[in-house]
Amino acid sequence: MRGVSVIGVGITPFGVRAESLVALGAIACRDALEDAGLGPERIEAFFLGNFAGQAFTGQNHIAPMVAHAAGLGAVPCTRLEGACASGGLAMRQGVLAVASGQVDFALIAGVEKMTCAETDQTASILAAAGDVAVEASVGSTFPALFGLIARRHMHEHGTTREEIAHVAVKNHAHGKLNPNAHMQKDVTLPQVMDARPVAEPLGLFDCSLISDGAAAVVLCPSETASAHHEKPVEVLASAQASDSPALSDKRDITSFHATQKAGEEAFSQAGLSREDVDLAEIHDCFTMAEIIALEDLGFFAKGEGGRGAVEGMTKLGGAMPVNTSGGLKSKGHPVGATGVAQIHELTLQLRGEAGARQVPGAEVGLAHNLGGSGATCAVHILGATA
Amino acid sequence: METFVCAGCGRIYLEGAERCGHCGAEMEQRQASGRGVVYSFSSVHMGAQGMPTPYLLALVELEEGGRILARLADDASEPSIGDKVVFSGLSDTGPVFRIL
Ligand SMILES: [Zn+2]
Repeated sequence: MRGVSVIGVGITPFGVRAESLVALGAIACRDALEDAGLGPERIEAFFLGNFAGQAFTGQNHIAPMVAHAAGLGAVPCTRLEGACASGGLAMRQGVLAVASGQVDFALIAGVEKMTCAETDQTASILAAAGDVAVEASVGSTFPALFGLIARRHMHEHGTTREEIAHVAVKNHAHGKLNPNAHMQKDVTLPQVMDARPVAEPLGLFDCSLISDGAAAVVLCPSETASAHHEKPVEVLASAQASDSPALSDKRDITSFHATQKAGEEAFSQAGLSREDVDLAEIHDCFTMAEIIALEDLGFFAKGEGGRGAVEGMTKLGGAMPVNTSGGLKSKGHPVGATGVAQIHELTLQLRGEAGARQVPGAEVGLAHNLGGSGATCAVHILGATA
Repeated sequence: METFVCAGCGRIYLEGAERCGHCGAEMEQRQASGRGVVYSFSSVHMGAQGMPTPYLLALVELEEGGRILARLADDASEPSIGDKVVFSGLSDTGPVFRIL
């Protein structure tokens, strides 16, 4: 397998967007191709992350549609679905296609259009990322599953409601600095704690945003990357793992086994330790999910992930800033786009192009993308070129 | 409480079927006490499409082992983890337990 690097990234602003599902994808693709200085005819394979195009917009089979709209021609187009990790799976397939020597130039995109649906309809569409037969059928939604998880984490590990709420305060403070974020404003601790309850103990500000948006990435072999971009970013690891989504199937609901496995595999591929990571984009579909991922990835001991935001380690200026983009919480969570948008953020940071939210001297970044209640996890580690 | 336990994956069902809806293995019929404890719970205020809110969801750990996701009876006050519950019947939205 050969080394793979990111030579172009693109993104649409996240939020309520007028463009169609397909147009959003095409815009991000053109943006990424322009960043890489490549014409669409150079792309040899296209991988698209999308969770529920059909359920939200009535349109399936969107990979060739986005490719056609972006002018890619007759290249193989593949759509990946892994719930909220769809984008991470697309990224990984692109990395494998280039690493294996199958293709020299791969384009990866992720897209979702969600704001066209009513809130309760959206809740039902998203609930299908869990095990419908034993969860949605009982009246479970994603906030409810993470409510159950949060309550148990508080019970077993002493995590406090306040620690959980601090994650939202931190990620909004970061998102305020991201011009592409859906909600570019601060929230206070009392605002989070006293917000309208969604699924207790979680309230409105513990939940990620329902957004439209797309992101895209261009990959090529590392050995020729510097010919295409002055600051290529190297893919140091690309790992994926799975588990049952049903909470009733899990021995422990305060950890996600798929995150632990993908994390271990990624650190082993990269030959790096946790201390080597300068910043991370962590899948904060809910505030609680960020805390659990920090523990599962080994950045904090079990039960201590809540310290990250409270004590400032995971804030901009801290030892390892987490979700400098604002995360799913503030940047927004167009489900299929999320995993690719994380790669976009790390790439800007590792190039030193993240503006007001730049982590000074960032050399290594980790992206953690989680599908559903932990059934799919993709972890990527990227490194700046010296 | 009559349960149907999958011989393959161990899932517990309250309605019988020849094979497990999850893994396709054969099911064993087992009599259970219907008693268990609250493993975790959430009061849901913004719910699934068409479901009146709020309602209480609980992950119940059965006395005989294994967990199932269920509703707590409508009149239930806020429970605590570890509270004892008992099966009270099957509704349109699956199993319902009440707090003892
Ligand atoms: Zn089974």
